[in-house]
Amino acid sequence: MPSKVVVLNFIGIVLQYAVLGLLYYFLFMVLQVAYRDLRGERAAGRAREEAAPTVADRESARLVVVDAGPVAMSKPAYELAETVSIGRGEENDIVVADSFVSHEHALITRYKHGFWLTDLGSTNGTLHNNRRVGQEILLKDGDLIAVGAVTFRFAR
Amino acid sequence: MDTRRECALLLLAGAVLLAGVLSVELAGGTVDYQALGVAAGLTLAWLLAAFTLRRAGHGGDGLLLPLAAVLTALGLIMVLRLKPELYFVQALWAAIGLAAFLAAAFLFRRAERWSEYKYFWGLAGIVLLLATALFGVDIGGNRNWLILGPVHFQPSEFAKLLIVLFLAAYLSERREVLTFATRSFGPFVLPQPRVMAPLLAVWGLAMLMLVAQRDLGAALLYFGTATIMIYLASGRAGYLWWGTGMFAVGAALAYALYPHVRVRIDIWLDPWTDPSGKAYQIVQSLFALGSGGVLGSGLGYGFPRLIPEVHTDFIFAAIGEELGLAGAGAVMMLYILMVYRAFRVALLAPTPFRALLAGGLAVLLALQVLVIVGGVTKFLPLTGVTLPLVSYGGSSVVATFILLGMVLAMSERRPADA
Repeated sequence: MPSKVVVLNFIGIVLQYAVLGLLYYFLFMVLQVAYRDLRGERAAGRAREEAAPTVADRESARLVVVDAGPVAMSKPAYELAETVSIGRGEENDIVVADSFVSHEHALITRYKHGFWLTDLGSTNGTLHNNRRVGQEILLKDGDLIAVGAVTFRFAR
Repeated sequence: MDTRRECALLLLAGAVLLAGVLSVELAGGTVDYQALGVAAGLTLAWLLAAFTLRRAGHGGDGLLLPLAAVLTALGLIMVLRLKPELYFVQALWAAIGLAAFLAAAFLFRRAERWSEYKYFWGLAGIVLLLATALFGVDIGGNRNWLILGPVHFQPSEFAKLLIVLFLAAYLSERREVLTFATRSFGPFVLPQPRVMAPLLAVWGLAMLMLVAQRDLGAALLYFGTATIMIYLASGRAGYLWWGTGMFAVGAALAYALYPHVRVRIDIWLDPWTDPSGKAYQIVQSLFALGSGGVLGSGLGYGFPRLIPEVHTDFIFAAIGEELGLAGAGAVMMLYILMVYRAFRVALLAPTPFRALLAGGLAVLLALQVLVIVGGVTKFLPLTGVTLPLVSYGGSSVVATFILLGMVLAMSERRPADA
């Protein structure tokens, strides 16, 4: 019959290893969940890629020049890529040659499934449905955007 | 992930806690049933919290709470081992932290609404920090404590969260300006000065903390987080160069002007010039880590109390000594998984603001672990920050739980109310 001290020591040693063992079993279970999530996300990504052409079709958007005023625009309508910059400077995607327009005036970016309009701190501001743009705005079909003397319509 | 699995993970965390507490007590020779009761109660509280979240229809990430629970469990075991008189206090803080976690998880479901008051949050954070700089009290070498009646707390722990909230709101609104309205000079990108203002402000704040409070760790955390968040928002690596450059200038100035910074660097480069004086703490920490070996000495069988402040900043060295490389490695993996889950939340977020908030919080957590584990293992110059959730300290535990609650709220996938 082993003494009480020996039994307690034995339990103590078992518990010491149990702490580490339980810790690693916990890590194993967490990694299992994380791995399953990753695989799920990759499968979802692949499914999205396969469906991509039609999605791109549906998600294309245009800026139609509604009213150019006295300003000569290069095109009647512009296809929107990932990011489109608007301004007086030559390096912009859409050049608006109007002295009331800033060099870097406004920007339309695509984020997830929407197009967002931002004013780049222009002097005379950008109007979205006749309201001055403060924060980023999610564009909807038919929205009117005014930069200087030019008005665009957003079409999806 | 289903609720059953989350409950299994939480029960496992509870089992770690009970086994750890019991082995510490057996090694010490006395079994205190109260300590075991508190451990069981805390396990029950974790389960209850998970159940409350699911019951209320919260669809957040199911791994965050179990990961937090197991780190808290390790922290409690080590506090019981190192400073038994603080065990019940730390358990109380863990319970308060859990309540704060739940509150944050529900309150930040409407994070967009909070983000409208961004200047208020930013200002509140700065006021908290300035108040500490002016009325701070020196406890344990860092002048970053405020005393309000019976409560002692470290405002910088909470101010971190406010500043990240402010930066996420501010930067998500201006990410286009940051990305496009720039002039480049070689590898350097210079945006309009007023866009750079918040970065400059945070830099100033970090330098102030460095100088007035000798809080090297916090300064590094704030500045690093702000720089990386600007990078996350703009996708321009140029900002990282700016951040590194500004930090290098600040660090060089601090090294030249302040003796306490010089001491920290010198003992990092060569602790063996003064191993029993200035470098005593770091040298003891290195001995502790080295003597731990692969499986450690066992809880209660090492000599971690030779390290000053072992229950707060140096708790990682104690884990390395008594649980060995196996235990310390497990702790690192737990943090890696936690940070990975937070970044995953950022990647899956529906709006730029939510992505930046989750990403910023992930960066904050990752940097804090890097700074203190790097410091304790002499990989980086030592700076006093806590090891999140594991170190003893109420402010740190509660603030980290709030951080995780915010990430949990961001991880919920709901239709965006644009």
